Formats: sequence, structure tokens, C-alpha cells
Amino acid sequence: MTFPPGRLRDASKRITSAAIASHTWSFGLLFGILSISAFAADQPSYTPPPVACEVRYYFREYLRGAKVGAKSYSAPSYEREALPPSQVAISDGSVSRIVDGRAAHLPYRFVVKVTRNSDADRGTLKVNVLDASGKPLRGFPQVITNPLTKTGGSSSKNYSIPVTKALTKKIEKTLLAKDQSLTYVALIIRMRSDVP
Amino acid sequence: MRTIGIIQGNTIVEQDDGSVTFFAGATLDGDGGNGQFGGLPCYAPRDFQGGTLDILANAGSAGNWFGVVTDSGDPRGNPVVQSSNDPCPGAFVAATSLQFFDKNGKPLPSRSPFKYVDSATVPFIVVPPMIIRGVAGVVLGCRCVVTNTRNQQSVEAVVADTGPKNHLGEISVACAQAIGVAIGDPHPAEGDGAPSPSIHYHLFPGTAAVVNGVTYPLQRS
Repeated sequence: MTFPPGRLRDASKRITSAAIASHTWSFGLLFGILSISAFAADQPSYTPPPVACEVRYYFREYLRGAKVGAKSYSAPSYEREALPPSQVAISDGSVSRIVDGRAAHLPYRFVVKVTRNSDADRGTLKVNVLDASGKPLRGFPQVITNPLTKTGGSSSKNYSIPVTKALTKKIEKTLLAKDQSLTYVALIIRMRSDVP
Repeated sequence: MRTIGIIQGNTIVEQDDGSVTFFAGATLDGDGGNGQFGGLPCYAPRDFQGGTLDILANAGSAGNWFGVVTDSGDPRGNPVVQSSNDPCPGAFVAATSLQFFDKNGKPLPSRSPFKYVDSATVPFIVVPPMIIRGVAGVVLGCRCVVTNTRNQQSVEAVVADTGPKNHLGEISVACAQAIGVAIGDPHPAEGDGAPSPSIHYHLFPGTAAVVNGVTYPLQRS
């Protein structure tokens, strides 16, 4: 069986191209894995574990048709909005997990930073909530000893977020359903592994 | 078998035997906790010495007391404070939809802490109006079996409170503890609860719940 020389050249080119593409892809994959490994290896042993933050909008609902003397508002419940995943930042020997982001229904920027300086250092948790002009809300920033040290849901931290009456009305209109009244807003910070 | 409705992606089904089943997550409800049996009260004034099941803001604020019993019976009134003769003096009174009656079958006063079901010590669940109004049998006060499918822990509970129309899966603090669902610290009712759909709920409308030896009244809403 014979093939014309032209077809053989084309086939050869295709095989060569496929081989190069395959090698390039493999090299890229290997490089990516090595980069990630190197990056992970570069992180100090005392790097805080990933943290997760969410904003909860707690509310109760007016129960239409409730009889006289009966409970007229529902049990509490909440809507939630997750903030972006935490990022690692290393500076002068200290290593931080930082969450920096916004929630869709609040005009605020949330900056949450867990920092440790050594294996022996429990670290600090700094929470700042900034308004649209970049000024911290009253009562912020807050800095405490890092409470996010145990898994199993036992070490989360909640912060009440102040909302004006106008903002409350806006949240009720844009996020909540009919007859639902916002009771308060909270920022929940916990270890990523504890997120249900 | 009939579908009653779907809330948050979870289908609520009425079985042929009249029972109601659904899977959902579990958030926590501290309402009804008034220290009736030595547990924490749900809400108390800021200067209260002692813990509470939930944070006060979740009850509302002046002029909007949605979550506690008030002297006027509406949110604009002042919260009723438990007296020295009550189980938890100084705490507010938090209500559940299910209410107890006195020995003669008459309603207890609204300000009585004993009128309501204690979240701290009684396993109970909260259901949306869709279920209460969607079946023939009486739902409030009925028997319920709650199972955590992650660890197979199960508990006999009572349907004792009403939740929002668009949320499904809420349980008392005692129910959470009974089936191994994490509670919050320092406020147990602020815990994360359980993710959907890890909790299975099986309700028996029309069958009075018996929990910890107490038979609960069936109550039409």
C-alpha cells in the first residue's frame, strides 16, 4: 500500500503539531503544579487557615391572619451574602489572611484580616467596615485576639453592622419579601472549614 | 402522595397516610425560651446578668419589638419583663405560636413565660404557613420526627412555631443539640445550624406530640 508524498507530509505535520501541543500542555500543567507547590511551600507554617465571611440579614415576618392573642410575627430567619474568599499576604515575617469585599445590599466595604507572626503567636483579628467615602463606621476598626483557632463551628465571631432607617427600608424593599421586617445585620467570620 | 409546595428548592410532600415529609437545612430558633426549666432565656435587657439564647437585636428594638411579648400586645409597646415570681427574673418573654393552657383549659396570660414552648429544653420545629394551612390535620402541636442524615441522630419533636413563608427548616436549640447540629457561642440560637438538605422532617398532623413525657395541645391557627 502506498500513499502520495503530499499526504504523508500532511500527516507528519499533524502528528508533529499534536506532539508539540501535547508537550506544551503537559509542560504547562507541570509548571502550574510546581508553581502551586512552590507557593504553598513559601507560606510560613503559621499561615492562618482560610477564613470565610458572610453578611446575614435577620428578619421576622408579619403573619397575616393570626388570631387575636396569637403570635403575630414569625420566628427569626435570615438571608445571607458571602464575601469573597480570603487571600494570603506575607509582609515582614507576618502572614495574614485577608477578606476584602462588599455585600450587594450594603454600601459598605468589609476588610477582615487575621495576622500571625510565628507558630507561637495566636494572632489578631482586625475587622474594619468602611462607608462609601472610605471612612470606618462608628465602632470600627476592631482588633481582638484571633478567636478562629478551633474547627467544628466553635470559633466564629459575629459583628453587628449598623444600618440606618433609610437603609433598613431599602434592604426590606430590595432583598426581603412582603411583610418581612429587618431586625439586624451581622457580619459572620469563621474558619472556611466550618462553613456548613 | 401530594406535593404541598416547594421552598428553597425543597419539596414538601403530603404522604398518603396524611403525614408530611421534607428535607431541608436547619437554622436555629430561640423563641419561647423563657427559662421555664432552668435553661437560658431567649432575650433580656442589655444590663441583664446572664446569658441569652439569641442576641437582643433579633427581637427588634424600641417601637419595633417583633420578637418579644409587649405590654400592649403589639410591637410598639414595651417588652414585658419577668418578675421575681417568674422563672427568669429580669428577662423578657419570648413567644411561640404554640401556646399552653391552664388546668381548666383556659389560655394563660400572654405575659406568662409558661405559655410558650421552651427552645432551650424542648425539641421543636418551625414550619412556614404553607404547611400549617396546606393540610387537613392540625399542625401546631403535632408530632414530628427530626433526623440528621449526616449522623443518623433522630429526635421526637413538636411543631411549635411559625416561620417565614419563603424559608424552610428551623429548629429549637434543644432539637439542634439532640441531633448533633452545632449551636452558637455565646448565643446558641446564632449558630450556623445545618446545611440543606441534610435534615429530614417527618410531621404527623393531627397527632399530638408527646415529648419528654409532656403531651402538647393541638392548636388550629
